[in-house]
Amino acid sequence: MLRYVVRRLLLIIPTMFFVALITFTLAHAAPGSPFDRNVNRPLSQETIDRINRYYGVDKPIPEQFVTYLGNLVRGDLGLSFTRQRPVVEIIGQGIGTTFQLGAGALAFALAFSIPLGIISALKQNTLLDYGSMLVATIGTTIPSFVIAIFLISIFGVGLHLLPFVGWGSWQHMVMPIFVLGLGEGAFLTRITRASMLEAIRQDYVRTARSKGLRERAVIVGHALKNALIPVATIIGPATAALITGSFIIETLFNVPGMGRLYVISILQRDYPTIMGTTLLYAFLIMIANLTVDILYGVLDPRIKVR
Amino acid sequence: MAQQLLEVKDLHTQFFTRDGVVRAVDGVSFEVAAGETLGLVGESGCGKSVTALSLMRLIPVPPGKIVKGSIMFDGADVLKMDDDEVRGIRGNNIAMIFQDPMTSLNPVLTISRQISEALELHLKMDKSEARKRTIELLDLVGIPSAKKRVDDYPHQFSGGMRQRVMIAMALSCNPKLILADEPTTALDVTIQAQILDLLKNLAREFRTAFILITHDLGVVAGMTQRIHVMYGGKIVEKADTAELFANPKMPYTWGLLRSIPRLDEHRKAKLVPIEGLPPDLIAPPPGCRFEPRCQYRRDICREKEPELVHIPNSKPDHEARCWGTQQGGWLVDTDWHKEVGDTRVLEEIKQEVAQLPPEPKPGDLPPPPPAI
Amino acid sequence: MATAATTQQQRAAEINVTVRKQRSLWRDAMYRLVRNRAALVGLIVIAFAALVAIFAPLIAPYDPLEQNGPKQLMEPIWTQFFGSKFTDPAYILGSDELGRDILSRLMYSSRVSLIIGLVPVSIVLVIGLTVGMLAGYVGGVVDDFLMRVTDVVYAFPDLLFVIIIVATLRGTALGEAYDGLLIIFVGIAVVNWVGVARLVRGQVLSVKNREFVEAARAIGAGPGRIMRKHIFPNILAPIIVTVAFAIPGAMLTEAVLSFLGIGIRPPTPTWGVMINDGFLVFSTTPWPVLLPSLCISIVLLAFTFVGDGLRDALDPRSKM
Repeated sequence: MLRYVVRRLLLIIPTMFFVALITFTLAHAAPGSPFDRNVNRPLSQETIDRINRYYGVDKPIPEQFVTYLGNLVRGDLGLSFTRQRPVVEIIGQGIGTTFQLGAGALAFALAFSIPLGIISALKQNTLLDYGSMLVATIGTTIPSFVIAIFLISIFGVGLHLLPFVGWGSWQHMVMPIFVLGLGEGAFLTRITRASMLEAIRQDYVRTARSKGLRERAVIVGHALKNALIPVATIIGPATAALITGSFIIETLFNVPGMGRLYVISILQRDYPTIMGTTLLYAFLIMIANLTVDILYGVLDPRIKVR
Repeated sequence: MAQQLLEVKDLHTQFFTRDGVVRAVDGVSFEVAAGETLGLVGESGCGKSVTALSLMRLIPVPPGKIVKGSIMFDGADVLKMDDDEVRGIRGNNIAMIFQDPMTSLNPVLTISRQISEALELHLKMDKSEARKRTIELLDLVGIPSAKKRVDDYPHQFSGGMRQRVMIAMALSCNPKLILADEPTTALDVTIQAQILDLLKNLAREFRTAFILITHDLGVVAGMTQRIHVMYGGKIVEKADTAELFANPKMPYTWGLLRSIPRLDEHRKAKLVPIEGLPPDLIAPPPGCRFEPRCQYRRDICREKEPELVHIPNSKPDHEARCWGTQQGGWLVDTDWHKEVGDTRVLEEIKQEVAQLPPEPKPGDLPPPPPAI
Repeated sequence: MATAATTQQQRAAEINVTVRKQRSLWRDAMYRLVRNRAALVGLIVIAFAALVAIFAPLIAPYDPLEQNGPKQLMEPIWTQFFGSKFTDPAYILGSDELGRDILSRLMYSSRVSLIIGLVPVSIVLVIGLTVGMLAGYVGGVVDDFLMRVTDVVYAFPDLLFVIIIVATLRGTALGEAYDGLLIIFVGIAVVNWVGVARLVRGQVLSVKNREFVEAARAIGAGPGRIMRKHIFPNILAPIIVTVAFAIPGAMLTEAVLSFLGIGIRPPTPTWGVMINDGFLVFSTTPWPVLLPSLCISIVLLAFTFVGDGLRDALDPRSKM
């Protein structure tokens, strides 16, 4: 098991390399200098050259890439073009907030979706089942920003109950966490229900009943343990979805986190920040996937970790 | 006559589906004495498994339902018990061994846990007692190095070993009756023999009654004292084992026996299969259920259903459900080895079968899409 | 005495009754799909949206790009019953911040959205099927390549990748083509073909070892024929379902991109763009945001219901 973990951790390095390569290539495929933004006050060529030299953008591209990699290994993600500060510092500012948002959403999602999925499966085709499946369908289909807009119009503008700009008090956190968590949770509910339905139809459930176990012992002790395995494995991709969800939610609710930062830096063509944040995201996702794979190996005795 | 361990009277179990009501078990009555092994034989879909599941009330209640009858086990009617009482019997006084050991054991629980469950529940053992007993049971059923393997998972055992585990699980609380539903069908032939031997020895040693359910006449031959043949949801013949093989009195049984290859037959003798398909249990025909496939049929067979009654020229306990072999019937003196019935009727049957709509070919089935 | 013929017919009729009618699996699937009311409603909605999209130039009351300064931010006509003074019978659903008719813009939006739903998904389907079938059936170099690519692409979520591609290439000629439509196609296609290819590969692997394929090979069928006539029909079901869900996925991606400001370039209307624009004037009037939100939600839901229905209908194990 340990060997597997180490091997996976090592595999992250080449993947990160590719991610950096791809992002770097794309970023530099865009025409023009990033400093052309302000067309009303065109900078003199001399100024542009000076800026380019300062940021090292005047060197040939492969050399830039190598320099970048070198810095990366030392933890230096470069300087933001638009903010004149180290990218690391900028990210550091936003990451706490985003983490709060993400963790809150995930906790919320897990707390309501898994029990709901289980109960829906057990009471299949009842009103409860249809109801929760309807909510789950809406949650997975309708874009999160649409739901957010609806909620804002009711609770923010209409009833003036909750603030919808910024971050700070718990009231600020309610709607963003709810919207982000709803999308996650809806998906998890569907998976949990499907998995549970599959589990209770298995032969070993019949065997458990034939031993005289009470229904609850059969469901919890036998079916549930099997049903939750696929659900646990979804948490990896779910985390990835949280990340992309955070872009939208943070932008919408003006939450000063990494997601909003990322969107702004994309619009402003702030390549160092774009690259740094992308690499961070890629790393987080790979860790999440690795955690899920390990979890899977622990939960399911049939998986012999190679 | 001493009270039987199990007395089933007029059991009717049905399934309510979108296409109609399936009469899976349509009036079945039989008894099993303490320590006796009864064989329940028939082809797929004849209702034998459903009968067994009904005995333990394991029929899923929608869509199934036991609509009529009584099941007297040890003097009490299982069908009238409340849920707690039934659960008290399951695994404890009556236990079941299922067909596919691969899917019937929970893949994420150790076999120690799976066997101990019943012990802790019914015999109120604590964890260490249950564990000790589990190891004993595994030894008993022939699992080598039981002490080391008790914490293994089902996937770490071979098919035959898994079935032994299931047998150990069934035996754990010393039940008076064990229902074995096709216990060897999913196993290799050589393993089959071992498992059957094991069951026979256990039956003798613990004086457990068995109901052995199978479609394979070869399996019941060496194992049972009596055999009941089922067809179309009903019992069509009852006899002592030796009597059934020596002197069968129902055309379906003749068909079954004819389709078994025998070592002592002429090399060129043909295997005679039974033409046709099993009957529709939603709208069964008004007459004898086997009639569409029977080479010996006559008009009365299509009109009226025969009763299960004693047959002339046979032992006193021997009953069959056939107009032809009953008192006064046209098959009473027939030597079934030689007479294969009216060949015109045989041709008729073949033509009828040819006109049936085709069954879906294996290539038609698309694989199921991933479920989200 | 009845002739042998009629007795035979009678018997045949009786026997027919005693055997359950067999339905071919595809017909059974169609039957089940149509029985699913949610899916049926979904299909109707999609058909309606398609009609609107096709006939938009004929039925839209205005040119969606036509601006009308004095008539900015008119409200839908029903609000006059709630006291609004900003309605104009000429603008049934109101107008946006540049005075453009919302109804017409909504109609034209459906065209873009449907194109975005269908075109990239078709590309993805073709590429994914080809690569997947080759990888699964022939293996070798194609298979290895697919596996490596998958590892990299799976490292990050689709949306992130699409955002990066679209955002960084926006300034280029590619990004400008068709108001940014082309780059969105490319972005969606590049990211999604891998998933389809993997799925196809997995299905092919599981089918290619089934007996009937072996039988076909035994009678001399070549790989092309086997792939076409034996493997392909049997892997269709999960692929159909995946496509059914990919279409709304693509539409959603475009909406998100537009919302973030990197989607279709103005002034082309899409629902995502309209939501983005409408959000800016949200405090003045909620309708420019709510109406396109409603439209996109309904269409996405319709596709989801149909997708669910297809999945249930095509699963031979499900007992409805």
